Amino acid sequence: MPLWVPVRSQVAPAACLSPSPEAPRALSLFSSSSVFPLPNSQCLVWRTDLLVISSFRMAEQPYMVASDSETTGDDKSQSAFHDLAIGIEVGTSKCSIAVWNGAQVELLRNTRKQKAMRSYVMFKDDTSTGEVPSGGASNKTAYEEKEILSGSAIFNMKRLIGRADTDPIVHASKNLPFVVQTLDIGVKPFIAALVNNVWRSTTPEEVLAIFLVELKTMAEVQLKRPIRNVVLTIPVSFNRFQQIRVERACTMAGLHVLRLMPEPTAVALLYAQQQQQQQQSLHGSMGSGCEKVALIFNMGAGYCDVATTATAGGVSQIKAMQGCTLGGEDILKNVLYHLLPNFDSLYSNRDMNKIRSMGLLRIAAQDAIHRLSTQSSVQINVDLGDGTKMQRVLHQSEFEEVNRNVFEICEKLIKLCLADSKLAAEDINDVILVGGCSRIPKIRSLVLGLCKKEKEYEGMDALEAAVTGAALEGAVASGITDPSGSLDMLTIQATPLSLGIRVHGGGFVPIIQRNTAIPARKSMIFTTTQDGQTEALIVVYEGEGKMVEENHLMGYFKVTAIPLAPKGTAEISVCMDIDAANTLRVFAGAMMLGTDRANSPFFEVRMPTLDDAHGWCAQALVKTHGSALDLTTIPKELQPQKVQ
Amino acid sequence: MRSDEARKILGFSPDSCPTRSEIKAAYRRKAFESHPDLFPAHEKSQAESNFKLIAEAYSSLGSGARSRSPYGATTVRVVRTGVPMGYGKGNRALVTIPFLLLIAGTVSFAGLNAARAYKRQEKMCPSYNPFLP
Repeated sequence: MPLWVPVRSQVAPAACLSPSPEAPRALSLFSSSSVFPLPNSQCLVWRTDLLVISSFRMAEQPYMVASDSETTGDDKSQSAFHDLAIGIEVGTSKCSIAVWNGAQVELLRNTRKQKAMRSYVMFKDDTSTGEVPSGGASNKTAYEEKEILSGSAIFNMKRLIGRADTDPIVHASKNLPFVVQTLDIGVKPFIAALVNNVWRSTTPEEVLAIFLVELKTMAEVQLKRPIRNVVLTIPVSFNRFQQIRVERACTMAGLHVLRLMPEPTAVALLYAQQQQQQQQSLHGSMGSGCEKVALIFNMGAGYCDVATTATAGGVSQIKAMQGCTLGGEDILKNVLYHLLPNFDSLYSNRDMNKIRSMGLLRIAAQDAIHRLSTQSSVQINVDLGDGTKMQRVLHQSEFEEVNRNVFEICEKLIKLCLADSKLAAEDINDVILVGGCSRIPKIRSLVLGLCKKEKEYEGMDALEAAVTGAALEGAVASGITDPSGSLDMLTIQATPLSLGIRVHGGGFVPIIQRNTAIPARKSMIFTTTQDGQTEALIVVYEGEGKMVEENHLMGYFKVTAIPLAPKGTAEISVCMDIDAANTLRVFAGAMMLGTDRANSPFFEVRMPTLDDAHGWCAQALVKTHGSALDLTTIPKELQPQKVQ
Repeated sequence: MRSDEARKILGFSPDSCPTRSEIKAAYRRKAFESHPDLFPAHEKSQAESNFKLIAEAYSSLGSGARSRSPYGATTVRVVRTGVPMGYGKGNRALVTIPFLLLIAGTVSFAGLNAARAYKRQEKMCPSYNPFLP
């Protein structure tokens, strides 16, 4: 029997992927509330209970599979690390786990001795155990890339999670071997894997949850303790909906998210630690030291992030962050379309042979891209199976020409990030390049050129930096201290996207600007647009667009009891608060005329109140209420307590 | 937040003028003392509101009020506890206008009255008053 079963019995139903007597007990807890939808109940007990849990919000922890209440005889030596959070990086293509082992960060390896595990979930029909999906971290089976691309496996879930079917990224994912269907009405996309020659539907969260369960099991076996708290890295460009989806997937897997950390922030923390150790060895004492500014460029398979950080004395502060959905997957797609211009029409009908040949082509193209990092040209020889063979040479210059748009976006991101942080290239001490795509020579030269540096920062593994930083954050946030002082660190995170409300005319007014240090609380005064207006609608958005349509609708509520007054005189205070757990709350209410007291109790609303892709609610609101409930800003001179 | 208040929060005397690097160092030190990551669960909320104040003080001293929005009104302030209960109006000019009007009105009314009294006097007895022209 595996070691972890006696320690915490609730782990069993999720972890051993088989029906167990515990699972029905867990279900009976919810039996009174039969309203929860159980879509595609696949006659697997552990899976149905995952789905029940999924309909809860992440903060409602009493409903978690693994609860704190049962702590049976844990051995005492482990007690200090009992709640130590582990760091997980679920990348678009690879993923890894790291943990603070008391002296340093250690990356866990799976049974195949891999530190970086391919992220995918295979939906395979196995007659002996029923249909049990298994992920890339799995011990038993190591699937070949060819099999992963056969349509039976779902991968790239990081690119799909929390996106609506109108999203261009979801549309671009249609060339993957599994099915991605869109109806372009702003709802969840339909994804399905091939099981027994049938396309079986699933959701990106479900896939991520299955994968996380495997990671969790693997870590529990190796660390010989139950795992509950995790620090997960996410891309900078993830909006709040995507973050909620990731949190939900973690909850489904029985994990509690201590922190969702943008990847460059994690790298910045690792950099802060390295700088501090360097300074300690130089000066022998802990001083505030001189400030070092680093630019972090992280480009993986799915996302590209740029951040600038200022580090001194173990405190790293994120000055600015920029990110977008751009990565190796886009580069691969560009190359595929270059090799086969009629790629779309060729693979639109999805029969088995076509999927197989598409998989072979993908593997060949991927391999070619990898080899182009060190060679100036590569030979592509691939037998597509259906009688056609592809034989050609791909030159580096050709590759760079095909991916020109990718490099242009990278350049734009770096420039924006430098402008946001008010830094010039000369102010940067170090350039840190991480992520798989940072090995592409063109990208290296581009980043270094923009920062006017000869060479990049050394001493960080490009593929392990983010997960190491996440494990460090896990240790710091779990309250672990280290006698040698290597955990006396702090990273001050920043909001990657602005948060604000809609004003009259459809404009977006940010209340919390992007790159504000969190936790943060900011407020602003607004006023009415109609004479005698007694109610006002607060419509909250997240994003960077100047007009609300370009941003994500988070939710809305109505402020009532505004005193009767001509337009432009009543005062409505709107306050936004992000706490340490990154929860957004909006407070709003009307002020008594001419005083600084509230007219009636304020409203407190936890955002988002809506699901993602409910942007049409905004249109419905405008259609029903017109501009009768609109707000507008008041001139800057009248805002309270200016900086003098 | 006023700048003297901000300086006090960061540990300077209210009327000092610290340099940028001093402000930065003070902010770092204070952040280390107050960041909620470094506190156990039951002290987190207090630490959190402290940190919000410090971050606000730093941003108002450091980079000043950034106004990226086309609407201009981006000045913000920290609310210390619970629901924000309100704000003082910082609009002195508008408040003083009625008083100025009152004073001006009084002066002009008095002047008018005096002129009228003088005229009446002149009409009633023009010859006996030596002060009249």
